[in-house]
Amino acid sequence: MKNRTFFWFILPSLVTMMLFIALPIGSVFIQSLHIEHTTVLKEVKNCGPFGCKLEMQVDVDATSQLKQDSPLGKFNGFGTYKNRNHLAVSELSTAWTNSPTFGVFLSEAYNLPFYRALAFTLTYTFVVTPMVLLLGFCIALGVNSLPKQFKGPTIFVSLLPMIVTPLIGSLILFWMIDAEGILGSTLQWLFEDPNLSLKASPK
Amino acid sequence: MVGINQDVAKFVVSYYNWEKQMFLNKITVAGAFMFLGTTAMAGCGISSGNVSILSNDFPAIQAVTAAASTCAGDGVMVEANLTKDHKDIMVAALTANPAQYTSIIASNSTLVTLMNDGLVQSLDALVEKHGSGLKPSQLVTVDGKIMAVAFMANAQHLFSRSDMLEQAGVSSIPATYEDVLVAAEAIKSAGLMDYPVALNTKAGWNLAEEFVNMYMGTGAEFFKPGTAEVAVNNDHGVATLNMLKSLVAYSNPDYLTYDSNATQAEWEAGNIALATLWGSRGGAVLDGEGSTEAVTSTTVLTGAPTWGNNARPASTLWWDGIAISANISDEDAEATFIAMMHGISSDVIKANNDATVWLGDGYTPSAASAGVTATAAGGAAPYPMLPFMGTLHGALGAEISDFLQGSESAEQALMDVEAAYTAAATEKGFLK
Repeated sequence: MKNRTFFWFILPSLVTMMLFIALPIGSVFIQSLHIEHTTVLKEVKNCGPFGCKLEMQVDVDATSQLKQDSPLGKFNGFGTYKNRNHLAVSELSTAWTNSPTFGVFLSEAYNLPFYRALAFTLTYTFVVTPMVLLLGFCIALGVNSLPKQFKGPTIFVSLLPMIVTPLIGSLILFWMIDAEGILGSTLQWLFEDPNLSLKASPK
Repeated sequence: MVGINQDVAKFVVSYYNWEKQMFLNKITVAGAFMFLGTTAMAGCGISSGNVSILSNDFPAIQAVTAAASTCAGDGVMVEANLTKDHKDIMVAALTANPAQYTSIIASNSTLVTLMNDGLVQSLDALVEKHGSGLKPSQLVTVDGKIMAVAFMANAQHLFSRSDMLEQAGVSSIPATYEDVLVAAEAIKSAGLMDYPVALNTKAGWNLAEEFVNMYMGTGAEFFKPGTAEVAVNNDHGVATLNMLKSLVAYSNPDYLTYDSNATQAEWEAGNIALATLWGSRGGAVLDGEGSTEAVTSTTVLTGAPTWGNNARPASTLWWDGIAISANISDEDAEATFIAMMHGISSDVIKANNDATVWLGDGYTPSAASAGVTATAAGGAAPYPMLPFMGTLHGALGAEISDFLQGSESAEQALMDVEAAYTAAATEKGFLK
């Protein structure tokens, strides 16, 4: 294909990709450097079924004037990226200088939302995925070495979880790991801990 | 497990909702026929306009929207979206111009969120024109302007099983949370139940609401007066967390997954004897549907307990009411207001008397509403209508489960709450 033909050929996809992928990403990035204007607050009297009370309220007119003047909000640089609810840079460096051991530092970092989520993702990736591969391989080897007459039914049973709709499957699992479900209460019995809850597991 | 748990929990919730929807559809259809009889003759008096309602999903609201829907007819469309996720979609849906919904059934907390962005309009003119049947106490005014018309009151309060208390040798219904703990221990040690207590302690919004209720019982403020600076990391906050922890010690180990649907089901199954549940569940608990005579006949609804020698019940008062979107035409606003007035008329209230504590004319207090009434009479405070309360509620929901599960101290959990709130409130412009 000639360069020229190729250009016209991909032009429609190129334009849509620019419009719906590249531009929004750029826009989101620019917006992420801004935070909302400092809200103008005023004290007003709120009344309702339970009586009246003086309470702070947003001064909508003054605040919307601010928004109109600069719709993007207040420039904040990488402040949002670095604050506690995201990368938590300053919390992390304080923890680094104040922690006597690396273990203490890790548990402090683990207390921050981003790093907790990161730790969960990494654990999932490096524990669950290999286990799935390994166990699956073992089952396949096991099925393969079975006598011929048992092979068909065994394959059927071992593939059953894959056939069930994911929604139903997860619902069944959710009930099974309930503190009163078969897996949940078995685990409680195994670990001799009546307060063990898999559903409410913090990590 | 957090990520997966939430997904699964969502399936369960949607399954619950589906099941409830099936059940409610039957009622709604029956109700619609009932109302058609009156409305066909009386009519709603709307000639044109669109009405679309966004709201939470529970029996009282079902009744209101079903009645409002009977106003549909020549040139008038009435649609309703009843969902537990209304809080998450309302801002985006009403920011659009024209707004996706002409009306939202708001509460103390959601109205503030909507007003922060100017998404609901003043109802002064509409109330004057079409609101003659309303009581003055139903009008929610902010800075002198009517912003919502409240039609029901709600609060979390104590549900107890009198037979269990009796068998455990507890002579009276607990009036304080200290008494609740004593009664729970008595029931547990008598071998009647392993986990006699339940609160709506699902991690997130529900758990944070329990903290708010308990903290309100101390009379302390959430913020430094006149500012958006949070002030929960104090002795009251620590005591609140400790009280919650003592209570959940008597709860099913899965307590961090318990929302209103779960606790109601547990109650109806007779698995719990002492619970702090929403008043709006009282009617459903007592109606015998989904439960046994042994449970319903011994269920007693009383006001929210106090604690720590404070006089104020540890609960917050809520109202649900009608607000009208700002970004819609005047024609739609008027049609919506008339339809909603029809939805909360005294006929609807009379037909659904036990569904909730109605604020309008025609309501007769019943056993199902005794708890809410007692909580309000006891002097419970309304949920704070502060612009930044929602942000604090979110921070509480995310951070206090660590303490309840024993992985950090109460002080550390409250420090985390304050830090998470401060970061979020700064992003939202409430703090510099």
